[in-house]
Amino acid sequence: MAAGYGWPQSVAVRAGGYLFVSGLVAIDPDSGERNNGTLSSEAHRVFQNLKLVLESAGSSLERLVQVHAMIYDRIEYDALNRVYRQYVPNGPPARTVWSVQIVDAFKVQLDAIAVA
Amino acid sequence: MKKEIIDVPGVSRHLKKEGIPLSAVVRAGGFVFVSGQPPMDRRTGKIPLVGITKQTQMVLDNIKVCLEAAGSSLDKAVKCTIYITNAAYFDEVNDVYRRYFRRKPPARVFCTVGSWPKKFDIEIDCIAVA
Amino acid sequence: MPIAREIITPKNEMLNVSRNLNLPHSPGIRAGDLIFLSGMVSVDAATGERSLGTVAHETRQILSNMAHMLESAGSSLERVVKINVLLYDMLEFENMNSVYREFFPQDPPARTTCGVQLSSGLKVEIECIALAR
Repeated sequence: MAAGYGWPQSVAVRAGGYLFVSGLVAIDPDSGERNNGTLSSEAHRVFQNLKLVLESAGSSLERLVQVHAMIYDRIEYDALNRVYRQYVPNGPPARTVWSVQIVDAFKVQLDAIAVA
Repeated sequence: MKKEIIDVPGVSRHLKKEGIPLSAVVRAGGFVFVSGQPPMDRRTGKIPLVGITKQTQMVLDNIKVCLEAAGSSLDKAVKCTIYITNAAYFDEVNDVYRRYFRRKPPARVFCTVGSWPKKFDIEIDCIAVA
Repeated sequence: MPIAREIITPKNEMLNVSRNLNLPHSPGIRAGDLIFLSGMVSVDAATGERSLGTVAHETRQILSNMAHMLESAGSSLERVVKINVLLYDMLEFENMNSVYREFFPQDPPARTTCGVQLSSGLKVEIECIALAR
């Protein structure tokens, strides 16, 4: 994936048996284009990106241990959950939902720690 | 497993004086955990009213001092979270941030939060390898 | 050999909020030497209902429940290494701190506090990383 979207960050860092993943947003991993959309469409894209990042590093969505799910408005909490549970159906990671503003008018950002 | 509280010169004593119930740095489980650092002047313990570029620089200097006090360093950072009161500062923050993490920067999260009860706009926290 | 990943649940099932409210997260995960807890909000330990109140009240309820959660997993508040406090309004910072101090009288963990929007009229949410043993 476009390394860190051109921002001064690595997409993921492996250390001490864990994988630390940067905040991911709805950017097309091939073209680098922003896929701004609804919360649901962005959440799908972000989870696909997260899956790609984790698997590229030899980990997987099943091995997530902690997620910070950032959404632009608390009112979309249920919309987030509907997408979220499709990607981590069993034994989901510890999670906190943060309602914060996200750069470039994105509606979702996921940052994560996984078992490497 | 041991949890060590690291005394950070110019940081820990100001926290103590202000009675803020946190340790600037904790070392445990092979990692160093740095508390969210405001743009505090380590000499005076005060937060000066300065622009976002200077604030970012002060915060990252403090992070550096915190990590080094624990025997770690910026090079060993694995994840930083940037908390900011205005998303429009993104570019200014990146310009400074880039200078501190020139090669292989850590994973990072940038998010916009409500303002603190003091006059500053940015905090950064960090996890690093011990 | 990857480090093991294990789900943590509270002994008091009333505090298993994600299961009781059917939310897609685990109360906590143990992975290697560390425990990662999900964000906790103020929940009455006897009824499992959300317990809304002042920032002081909610902070006390959350940290009591967090102690239970960690103890259920063989850890404790003393072993917490990093905390994130999410507060609905940072002007209440000191009201949160006044209770927080009671739970971490010495060697408190590293901590970051930030102001965010919370749901259901809640004022505080707290998450942590702790040493597993």
